[in-house]
Amino acid sequence: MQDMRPEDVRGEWREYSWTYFDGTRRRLLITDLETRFPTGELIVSQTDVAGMITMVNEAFVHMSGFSRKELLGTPHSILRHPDMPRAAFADLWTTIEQGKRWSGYVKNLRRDGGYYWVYATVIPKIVDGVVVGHTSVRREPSRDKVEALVGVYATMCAEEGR
Amino acid sequence: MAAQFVISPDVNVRNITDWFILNTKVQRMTGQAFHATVYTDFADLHQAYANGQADLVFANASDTALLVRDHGYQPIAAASRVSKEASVVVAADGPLHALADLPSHLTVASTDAPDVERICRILLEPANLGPADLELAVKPNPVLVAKAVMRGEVQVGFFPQDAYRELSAMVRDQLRVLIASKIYVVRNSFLASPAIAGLVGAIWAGLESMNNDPDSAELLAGLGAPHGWERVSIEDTRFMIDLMDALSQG
Repeated sequence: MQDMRPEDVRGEWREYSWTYFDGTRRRLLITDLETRFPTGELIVSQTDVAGMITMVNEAFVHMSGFSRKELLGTPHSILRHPDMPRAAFADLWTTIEQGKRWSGYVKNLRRDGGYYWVYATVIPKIVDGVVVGHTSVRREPSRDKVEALVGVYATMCAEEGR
Repeated sequence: MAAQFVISPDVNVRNITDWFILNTKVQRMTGQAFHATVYTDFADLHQAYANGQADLVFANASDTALLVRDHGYQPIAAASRVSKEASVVVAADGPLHALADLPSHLTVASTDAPDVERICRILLEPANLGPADLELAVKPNPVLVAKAVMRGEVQVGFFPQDAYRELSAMVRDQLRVLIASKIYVVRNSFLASPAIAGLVGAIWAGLESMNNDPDSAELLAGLGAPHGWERVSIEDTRFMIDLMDALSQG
């Protein structure tokens, strides 16, 4: 994945060097600007079994700040925000690799360095009994739950040495 | 023996005869006799599924999941650029103006249309309202849902957006949309049972021919397909089924 560039970022940013699960690294430029979830809409995407994006809807494109062309064929982890604990994604992958549904609150990273909160559900995409990918549907989260989780996730990140 | 053409109760039927006209066209398209039934009750419809008395179905998204995944039905077509959307509605002169105003226990009137109920429950989640927080009163039709809200019998009503728009202006003046969905992918679609799988091509060819036929324009509008029909692939249908699964509150 390409490093984030200052010219794409809105507002004051902090820099992180982020290491993904496969050992690859990316320069992240993070701001405190939140984009609120569009009320009444759903953000939808599909990935292949390797986690590469194969389909996104308009709300996904709008909220992520990336173009559809930039998203397709890119790892879904391009949205990974450093404020999210690694344990949450470990739980997600452990769950969906068993062919089960996973739901949770997620802070996503935008192309412009900002973020947006979602309540995400990921389910396996099964064709003829074989898992061929995953469908992910995000809906508007409860603000009370988001506010409660900000502290919880910060504690979990601290326990992970971040 | 006639095959069975069944229409789901939550299809917004403006003129029931439109569906019988379409049934006549389907018979011409296929050379097969069909008997059309516009169901008004989901229990009767599901009994027809169980009895194998549903060959060509105009199905809602929830039933599409059941029929395609569990009974081997094939998708054929859906109305172009038409999706099923829903609204949570309150009394115009009531105290509820935003999701933040909703109490922790909510009384609701709704029809038994499963897609609409599922979408509206999702719309209420940001207000911390889960399945156990809603007390649902099922009404036979959207007009009675509207009356229950207007009379203060319930705090909110769940409506399909097309049915809400078709309420009289006098009724709508007494109501207000609190929140509305913009999901775009939930839709009704024509499905073919395994027994008529060999007719799918002929049915689609016939439906497609209506798109460019000026004489069919009025009929298409009456059937809720003002922009005509579009082919629906099994991949499109699997996606909608996955999405409906993801939206279930478990």
